[in-house]
Amino acid sequence: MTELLRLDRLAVHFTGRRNWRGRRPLPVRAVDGVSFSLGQRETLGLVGESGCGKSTLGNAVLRLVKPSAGEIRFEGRDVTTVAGAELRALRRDVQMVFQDPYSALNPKLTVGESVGEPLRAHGLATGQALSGEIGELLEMVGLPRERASRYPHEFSGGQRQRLVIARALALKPKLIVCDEPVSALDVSIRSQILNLLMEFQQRLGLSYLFISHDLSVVRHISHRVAVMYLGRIVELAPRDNLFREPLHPYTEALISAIPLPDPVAQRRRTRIILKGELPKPTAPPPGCPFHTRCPIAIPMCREVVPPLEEKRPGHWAACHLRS
Amino acid sequence: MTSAPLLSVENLTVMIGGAAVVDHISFAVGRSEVVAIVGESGCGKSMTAFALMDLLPAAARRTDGRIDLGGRHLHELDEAGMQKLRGKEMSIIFQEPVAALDPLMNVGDQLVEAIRAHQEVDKTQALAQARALLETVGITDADLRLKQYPFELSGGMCQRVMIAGALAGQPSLLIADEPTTALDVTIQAQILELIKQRRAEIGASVILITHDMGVVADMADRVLVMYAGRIVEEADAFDLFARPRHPYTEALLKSVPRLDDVPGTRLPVIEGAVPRPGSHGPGCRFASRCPLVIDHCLAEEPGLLPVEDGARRSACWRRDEVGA
Repeated sequence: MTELLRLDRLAVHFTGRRNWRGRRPLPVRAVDGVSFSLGQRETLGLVGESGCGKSTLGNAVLRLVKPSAGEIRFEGRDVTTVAGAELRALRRDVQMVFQDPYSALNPKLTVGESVGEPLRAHGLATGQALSGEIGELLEMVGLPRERASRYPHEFSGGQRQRLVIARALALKPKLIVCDEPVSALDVSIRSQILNLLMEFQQRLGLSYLFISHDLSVVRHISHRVAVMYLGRIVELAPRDNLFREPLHPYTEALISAIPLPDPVAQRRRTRIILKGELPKPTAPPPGCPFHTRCPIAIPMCREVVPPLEEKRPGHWAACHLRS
Repeated sequence: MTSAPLLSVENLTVMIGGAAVVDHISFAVGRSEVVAIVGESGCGKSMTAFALMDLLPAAARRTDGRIDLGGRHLHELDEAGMQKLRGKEMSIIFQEPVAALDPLMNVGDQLVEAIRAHQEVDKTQALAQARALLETVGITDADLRLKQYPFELSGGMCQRVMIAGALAGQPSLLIADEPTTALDVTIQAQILELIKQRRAEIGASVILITHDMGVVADMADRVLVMYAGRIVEEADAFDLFARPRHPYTEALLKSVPRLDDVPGTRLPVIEGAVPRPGSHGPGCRFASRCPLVIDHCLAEEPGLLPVEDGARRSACWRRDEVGA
């Protein structure tokens, strides 16, 4: 597989403004040394709980927040700090779909104007050609082209997410960062959007960085899955390996916490219920970030940060106790 | 349910503007029973809960229906009468625990208020009770938490406080409206365990409103499936998952990605969308999206009628063929 995106020890730290007493709040290490690569036509699922840094990581890849350290390479080129024309060129290749399709579309623009905006902004089409492209984009996502002159409020949540996807596709990108793209949608609409994303990957050869807290959804759409905890990747593996044989106790707990839609299996199952909550990212615990909630922690875990190691071919985990 | 049910609801109807968002639904909840109400947004499940508590938003009105709770006719009570019951006989917890608590009161004061609303105790006694309540919901550093304000607590912690408050009066009915939807999955597991455990301890019945079939499978004894303001299927939880008897239930179960499906395959979809309240024709409200639709479905709405031995009900003309 040809490599499209590579992150090398990427970090995003938020330092915050000084308050009225001139004190700075404690820095938040939202992303703390993340490395992975993403191939062409590949979907990498990124899972974790709220506050683990998965959205910040997505925003860093999109260059919407500034990395504090580390490197982002796209098609072999270092794009960590590119600006101006180079950044505009990157934007043509890397697009985004966010969670809330209600706030992602400008209510004062017709949906055609919104979908065509990237083409206009990059000076790729005007007039007749632009309306033609907008029509094609709408049809691609299953909406009639005549509806281009309508406004977002006339569309349902699922239709709006289709429009957001159409806009992301306008520049024929190579990578789309999808941040919780189906979390705000009803279950019957969710499957429509997931099918659409999978279909476009097939047809257009897209890669996705697919960020979600929903492991069932991630399992369905991803080729590989990365699990984040407190700004770090604690496990990264091909989908089937991760779900069949999770190596990190956090991954294990996450999988076992999802209630199965089958009362017989669900009530027979032994579940790992984690104690406590995610520690504050301003004061991460020393040693393994997960040791405060880990059911199998040993004294060493409180002191030494476990490195992310390749425990099986292609299967990486950061745990002292799993080999 | 051999003895009289705790709650029985007949022909409950809630109107917003000229449209019925809950349309003549009838059901019962047995003592110590957990009944789940499932369906997608806009199907009327939360409005049903609000109508039971008489906490409907200003635009909505209960226009019809009898609600009997333990022999009391709730539909005849005025606001003062309902206030005496809320928190004591029936309580509700909401989806957004942080928004449901008063941001200007600390946790201790809110719990003291809830306790003193129904018991003749002084503030010191009430505070001691509040501390004990927090311990029952698994909050260990209760003294610290009592002094904190909602913004200082995580979502999971706020939901624990809500549960503590809701169960303070040992109600016989707890309504939980999407209690874990806003929470992370590891916290969801904690809260569901907590609801199970506290429910068992005080022997309360629970109406659990959710869109998550996994949560239903985990918690419910019986399930009501709602669609466009109607109950379309009612069954024992095990029977429902083993074989749905309404095409909507079947589609709902099939369209979610599961941990045991084949990844990367096309997911089954329910085409179209839920009809807007009041915009449906004379026939079945699911007809426009139904894979089993026949001409008769468009002409006449099926009633919620027994299937086979009568232990379950389905509102479908082809109820005997679904899921076969």
